[in-house]
Amino acid sequence: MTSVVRHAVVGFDWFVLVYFVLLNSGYLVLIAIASMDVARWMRRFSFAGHDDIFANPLTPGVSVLVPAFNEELSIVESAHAMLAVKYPEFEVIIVDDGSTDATFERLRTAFDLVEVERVIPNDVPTIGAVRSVHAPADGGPLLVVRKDNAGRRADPLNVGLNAARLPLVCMVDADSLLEEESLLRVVKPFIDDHRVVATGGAIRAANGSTVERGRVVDATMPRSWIERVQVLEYLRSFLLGRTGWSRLGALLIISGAFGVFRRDVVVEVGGLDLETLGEDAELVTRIHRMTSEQGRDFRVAFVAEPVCWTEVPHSGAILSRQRRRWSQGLAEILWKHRRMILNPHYGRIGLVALPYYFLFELIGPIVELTGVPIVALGLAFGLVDPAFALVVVAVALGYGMFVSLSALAVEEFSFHRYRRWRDLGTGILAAMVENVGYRQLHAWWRLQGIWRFVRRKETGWGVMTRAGFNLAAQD
Amino acid sequence: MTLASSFVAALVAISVLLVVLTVATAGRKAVRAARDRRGARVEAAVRPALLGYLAEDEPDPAALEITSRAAGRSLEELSTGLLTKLRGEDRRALERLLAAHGVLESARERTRRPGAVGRARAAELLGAAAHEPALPELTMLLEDRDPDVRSAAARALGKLGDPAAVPALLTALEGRRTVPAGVVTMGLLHIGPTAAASLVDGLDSRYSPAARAIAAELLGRLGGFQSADELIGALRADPDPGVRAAAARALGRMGVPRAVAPLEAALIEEQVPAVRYSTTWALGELGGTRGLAGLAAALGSGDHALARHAADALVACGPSGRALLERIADAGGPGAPEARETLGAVGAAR
Repeated sequence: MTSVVRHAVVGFDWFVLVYFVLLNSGYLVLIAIASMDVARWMRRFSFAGHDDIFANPLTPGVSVLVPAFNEELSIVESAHAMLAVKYPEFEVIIVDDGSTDATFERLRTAFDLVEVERVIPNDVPTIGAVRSVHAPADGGPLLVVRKDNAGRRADPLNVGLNAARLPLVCMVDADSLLEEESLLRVVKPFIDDHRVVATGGAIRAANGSTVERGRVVDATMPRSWIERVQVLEYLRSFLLGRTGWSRLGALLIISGAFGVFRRDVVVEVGGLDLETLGEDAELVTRIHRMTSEQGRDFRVAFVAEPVCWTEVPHSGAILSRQRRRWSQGLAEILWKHRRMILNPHYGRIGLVALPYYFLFELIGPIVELTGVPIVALGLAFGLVDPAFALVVVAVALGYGMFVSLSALAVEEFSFHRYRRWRDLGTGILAAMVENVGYRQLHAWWRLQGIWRFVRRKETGWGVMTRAGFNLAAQD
Repeated sequence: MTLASSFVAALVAISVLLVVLTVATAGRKAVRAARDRRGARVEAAVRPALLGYLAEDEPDPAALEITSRAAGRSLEELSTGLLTKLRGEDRRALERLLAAHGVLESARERTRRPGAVGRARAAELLGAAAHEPALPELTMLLEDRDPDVRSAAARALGKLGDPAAVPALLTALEGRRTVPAGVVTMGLLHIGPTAAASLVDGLDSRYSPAARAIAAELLGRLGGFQSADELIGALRADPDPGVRAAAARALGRMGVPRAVAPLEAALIEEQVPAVRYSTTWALGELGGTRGLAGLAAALGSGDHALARHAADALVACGPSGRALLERIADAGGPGAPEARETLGAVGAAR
């Protein structure tokens, strides 16, 4: 009996070891691919012709869609940033999803809004009824739609999609700040390649940075470790990870915080799914699915530099809610599109991206959280060689630190947004802190998300208590 | 190898990697800071000399001395930036300076070098300086193996302002090594009205649909009035809807009165929504009363997007169009919501 247990424990420990080697190696490969892509992008930036995109009368217009629910702290600053983007033709449509705070009042006061008549067609399904539509009294490309709350983020986005009148739609979170040239850069792939149907832009954490009139004017590492670790996460996963996936032609996630889509394609697939939590990734997956099934040649791209700054959770409680939602959303997407997994008909998405997300993103927390106790138990009962247990720990944690540090190195070698030596030092420390404590906690939250999916638990808008941006002193 | 030694090896390897990466990252930061300081020092020396040269009544290129390679690079970078901003005599003085220091000849040579970044930067400089002798090199780069170089060449060709580049730019839209339509469009726009005569040829069926659509669009924007008949022909008969839509917009933008009848016919017969939207817009641009019936029919078509375009066009038609729009809004039938919305927006704008 003891022999069977010993073999089982040792076998599982070997599995955990191999799993972590593969997981971290996968990340490292993505970062390596992304670093080449980023380096190429940087070398060619000066002759990329972004000014021509602005001057070109045929550059497609963009409707910026901003779903907002109880965003009174940041909505005005975000709206200013969105209205100040450099782009030839755009409109900003803020959809107030029945906020119970002063979101609308803040907007009304800041932009002198008046009620207007606007016909909103039913191109894609929605739930909450539209109550009124408002625009600035002195004109301008801003529209604010007030609607009944439907308890899910996809609904105000679909309302915004119906109200949108320009060929491209850009979905942006209400707590996000767009950089001045971000739209020009994220739209460029549509202009360069007519097969592009969606692009995602890099998202960075604004916490700690100084904001002036809707612009991040000084990027600084935040004060708390939970925010600092997220800065690193955003660099590794959202910037470099997605750049790598894009280069492989298998980009599955375009974040709802900053993504541009061809409106006609989103309407054709039926808009955002009102039943799925990860509606942004689900939309991209459905576009992949539809275009593959129809045999259409298309591209989904990621552009590393067009930066959208967002406020990341500043407390463990808020972060845990967010990560549970993300995990539950991923499980829903993988379940809904399970027939695509390992199906060669769906190309790299079916054969590489979806299996990767299943094995390393969905299953990851289960392996991580069961691996550590079983190794510890094995040690306690003398079933596992102490040296082997330490190898597992070294690979799981040390290799993870190396991957995080690699992401930081790529940032320093390329975009170099954080100028101070102190920020670099903090980033290096955050790479260590992330792997000891935070990562295990994160795995626990993700596991809870999977459990919520298993129990089919409904989750609405992820209410996130804002701290607001770190505004520069105004004259 | 025992497990214990494996552990030690793994631990040492990871520790070494972590230290190397940390040192490399910090080193990079230090090197970058030093390089930025050095670059700023060189630029601080070159910029006043360059501006002083431009400020002279009769600038003498030989008087501006370039003493090092770094100063040469700085001069090239500063000049490329300034060339896009300067006009008239200042610009010509800067071009003379670049020619005198061999910068432009060097750029022409670099268009044949192996590195794609170097070729693209050379094209950019030649375009910024509007260096006409470089037309053959830039035309050759339209077929470069690197897409970014091809785009840089197309932009540069436009800045030369020579209509001889039009056929090559239109041809660059098709084939194995293409240039994006947006880049070609801007190149042709930079050439300006002198490109119009060559763009009329671009409506010919030997060109690709993308080339024909761009030619039609730009004829409207560059004032190719002599091409009205060809554009009406394209609106009626071109097999590609993108070309028909562009021809409609061009006719509207140019304000060709005899285009009203073909536009009205297109509004009735056309099946492709995008062409109908463009046709509606064009009728609004042409104004007057002749297209009102067609626009009213479009407003009541039940197609929301078409109705919205038709309502905007009716306002653009002037008082008679607006009166018709008010009647439709009051009647409350199909198209009334779009009519009310447009009237409300016009009222707010006032």
